[in-house]
Amino acid sequence: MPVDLDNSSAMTVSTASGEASVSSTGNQPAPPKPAPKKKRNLPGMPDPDAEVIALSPKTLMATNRFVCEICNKGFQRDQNLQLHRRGHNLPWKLRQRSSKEVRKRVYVCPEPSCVHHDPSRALGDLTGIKKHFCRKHGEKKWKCDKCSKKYAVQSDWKAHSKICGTREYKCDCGTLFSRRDSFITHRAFCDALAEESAKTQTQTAVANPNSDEDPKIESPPPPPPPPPPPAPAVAPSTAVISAVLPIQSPELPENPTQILEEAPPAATGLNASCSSSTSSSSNGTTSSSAFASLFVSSTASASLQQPQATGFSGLSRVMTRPDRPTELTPSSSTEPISLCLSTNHGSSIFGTAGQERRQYAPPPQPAMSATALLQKAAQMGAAATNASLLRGFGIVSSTSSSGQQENLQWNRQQMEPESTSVAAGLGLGLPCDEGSGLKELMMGTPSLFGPKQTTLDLLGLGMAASGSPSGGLSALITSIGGGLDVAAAAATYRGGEFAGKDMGRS
Amino acid sequence: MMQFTETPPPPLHQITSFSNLPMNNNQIHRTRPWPGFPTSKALGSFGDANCMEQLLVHCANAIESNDATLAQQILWVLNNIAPPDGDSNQRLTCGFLRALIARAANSGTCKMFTAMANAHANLAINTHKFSVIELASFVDLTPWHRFGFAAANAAILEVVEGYSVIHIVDLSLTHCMQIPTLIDALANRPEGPPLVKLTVAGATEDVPPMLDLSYEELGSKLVNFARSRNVMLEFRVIPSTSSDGFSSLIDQLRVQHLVYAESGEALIVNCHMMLHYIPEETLSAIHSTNSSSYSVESSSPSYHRTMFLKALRTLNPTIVILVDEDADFTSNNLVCRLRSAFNYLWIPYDTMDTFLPRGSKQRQWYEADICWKVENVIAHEGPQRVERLEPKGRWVQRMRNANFRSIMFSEDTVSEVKHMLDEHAAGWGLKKEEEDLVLTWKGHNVVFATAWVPA
Repeated sequence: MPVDLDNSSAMTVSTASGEASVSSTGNQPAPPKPAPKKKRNLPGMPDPDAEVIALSPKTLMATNRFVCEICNKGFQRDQNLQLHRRGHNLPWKLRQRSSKEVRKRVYVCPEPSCVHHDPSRALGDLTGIKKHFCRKHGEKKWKCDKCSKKYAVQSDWKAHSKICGTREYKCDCGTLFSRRDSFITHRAFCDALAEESAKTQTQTAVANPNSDEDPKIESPPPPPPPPPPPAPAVAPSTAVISAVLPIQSPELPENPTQILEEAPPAATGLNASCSSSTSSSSNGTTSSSAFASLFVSSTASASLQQPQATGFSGLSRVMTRPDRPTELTPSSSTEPISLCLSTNHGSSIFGTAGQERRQYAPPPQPAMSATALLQKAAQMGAAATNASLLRGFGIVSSTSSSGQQENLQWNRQQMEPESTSVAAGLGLGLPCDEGSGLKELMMGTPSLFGPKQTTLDLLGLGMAASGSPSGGLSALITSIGGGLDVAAAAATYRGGEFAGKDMGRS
Repeated sequence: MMQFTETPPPPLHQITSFSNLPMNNNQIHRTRPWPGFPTSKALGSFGDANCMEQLLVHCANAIESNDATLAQQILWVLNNIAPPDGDSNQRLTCGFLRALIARAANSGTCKMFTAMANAHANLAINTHKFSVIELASFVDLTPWHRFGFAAANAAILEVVEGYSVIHIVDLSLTHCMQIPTLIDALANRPEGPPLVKLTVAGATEDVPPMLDLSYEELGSKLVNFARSRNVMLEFRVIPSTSSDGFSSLIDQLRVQHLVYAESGEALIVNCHMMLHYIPEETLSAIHSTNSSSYSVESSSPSYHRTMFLKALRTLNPTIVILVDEDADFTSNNLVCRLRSAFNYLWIPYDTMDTFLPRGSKQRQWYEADICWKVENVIAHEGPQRVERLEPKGRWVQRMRNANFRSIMFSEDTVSEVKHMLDEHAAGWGLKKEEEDLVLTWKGHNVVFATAWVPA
């Protein structure tokens, strides 16, 4: 049976999913054009006589769309399938592609609530619809390791990773920011701003264009912010803006590259205007108007934050340093504020954090389990407890690192302390009220200090069974549970776990 | 003085493998069950937060019942398992440990604890005085505050459309950190920026995070910044304190309201984690039990929170934003409070772990601030205990009782907040609960944001 290659892919689609439908809009198939150049329609406005294809999510995301009809092997690309089919030694007739002109195909999104589900808003590119589906309705499996931004499409993620951290806002004080909000909040309070405005106020309206003045700060207020004047100097920036504005619907990663390409010419344009003999006030006007109009578009659609920021920051770098080369030297701030990504700091901090997290697994731990500690506390009684308590508070606890045997022997020697020595243990030199009472306790149960050398895995329940000097503590000993090893416990450090602080609690 | 608490009999069924050990029945005492006595099966492995929490609870109980020995022993154990430089759980527990010691010392029942507290003094919680830049970078680190800022600013922008003068009353724990982005957004209104009057109350050193400069200096920086954006900003500080429900602030605003009511000025009250310092009903419960030492004043503290909201309502604000932490620290029972606090404050420790390396000074500052709160919740009572968080449900009820009606955050706002969260680590989430937004970390509620208009 003649197998048409074009049909095979469509057929594959329908057999694989059972849900594909092939319908067409428009009246007649268009006659084949002589030299069909791939015409790009406006996004979301497909060719009216294109063939609309609706694929199920499963089919859409299927990685092997092209299936060999002979052996049912699947391939990601048509060319690969062709190469494979050669190996089947098909008769010549079967090998050829159909000469029938392919009708243009457009694809709709399978998600019913999506705007692209409607055939009139179908997308013309299968890869495009796949990416759209992933981005809007898919799970975000790809994560940027620098900034934790998540993506559903791998190519988006790659594109982002290339530029992450390379776009910065730079404050006059030298600190770099990757986020606009951070930049604004910092800038509002930064001393650099205070100095700038002090300078601004002492200068006249017609200032030297080569001044260090940040053109974003207005020179002594010509009253209200001017509406964007269509000055010739603004033309390059408006070129950027106009490039930004129509980029409403195509998906994310295309924008940064476009804007980045636009920015340099805009930059040169602005540079030209800056270094021309225009006064600084018109400098400010220019930049603030470009700034303002960029913002108009940014507030208009929140989803464009990413590309907008891109474009703006490109401009901002230009605007803030019209006459200085933009240097990305590390900031002069002393503290490596983690999100101010001066380039070397950023990665090191996150890198360090990552390492630190891994190193968390074995934190410095006491050598004994809580149970053993509780037991020991019960055994040793107050005197030793106090001393080591106070010592412990002053020092990182290493009391438990000394061998149990030592402590027990020391205890035995200390079995009959006088109140003064107890107090000395306290480091106070004052008689402590509790000393006598505890002494009684300790004297009262000498059997406890037998050659116990309790290993950590025993609760020392023998002791608990025979009663304990400090009653409530044995309750704790039995309640906390038995034989728990600190090392194992520390390994369950919850830092990396998503379940929250504890496993079972809601 | 000291009491000896009684031993419970060892649960024999749990130690079947040791049944060959001698049981000396004479030394087994009657048991007094502790509240919340867990079974050993319920507890996970040792370093687990559950275990630490149990120990803290037992210690709290011991202190409350004046059992110095037991308390001291548990403290010793805690001290060993929770070093101040350990993992997040351990550091958190260490903070609680110190708070418990402070409480025991405050209660004065035992000189031992005073000694301990003194020995602690050199390790005392020294809260850091932030510079503005440090504070700016702090609020940026996680969405803890950015969430409230973003939601509030977006709601404010929407509601002041058309107004040419707006008056913002910023009652914020973060000392106006929200304002620059708001000014920036206002500056870019298509209709041009309004005249902005900004009023703040109190001082920069009341509660952490504390600033190393005064509100006046802060304000002048803001004015400067606004000028750089072509926004006219008037800044004003009204000395007023949360302990009396900001009564002087309310009085001032009332006067203003009389003067400006008809002039078409928008009044925005932005409450960001500040209102929980106003005393509420549980404070009066203590007062009534210690009746001899406290005279009931004409404005009893129990009403302050309610009165404040009612007074706010009389000002007919254009919008009130209420953002606060979603936890309950108001119980008069120490153990309840301890549990609440322990089960909430692990979150900031955990979130900071994500971004700040272990030895970083910044992390020490932030954790010191949290320890300040812990100490306040655990070790203080009466009017000194100022950290009186209430969960979202109760605040919503209060606002409704004060004749406010909640308004929804727009879709744009929600998507802006989501974008903002995307800039941070995975683990942060957003929940919409009716009209309110809730920030979550690993599924746990962290901060809620609500918007209100006069009903």
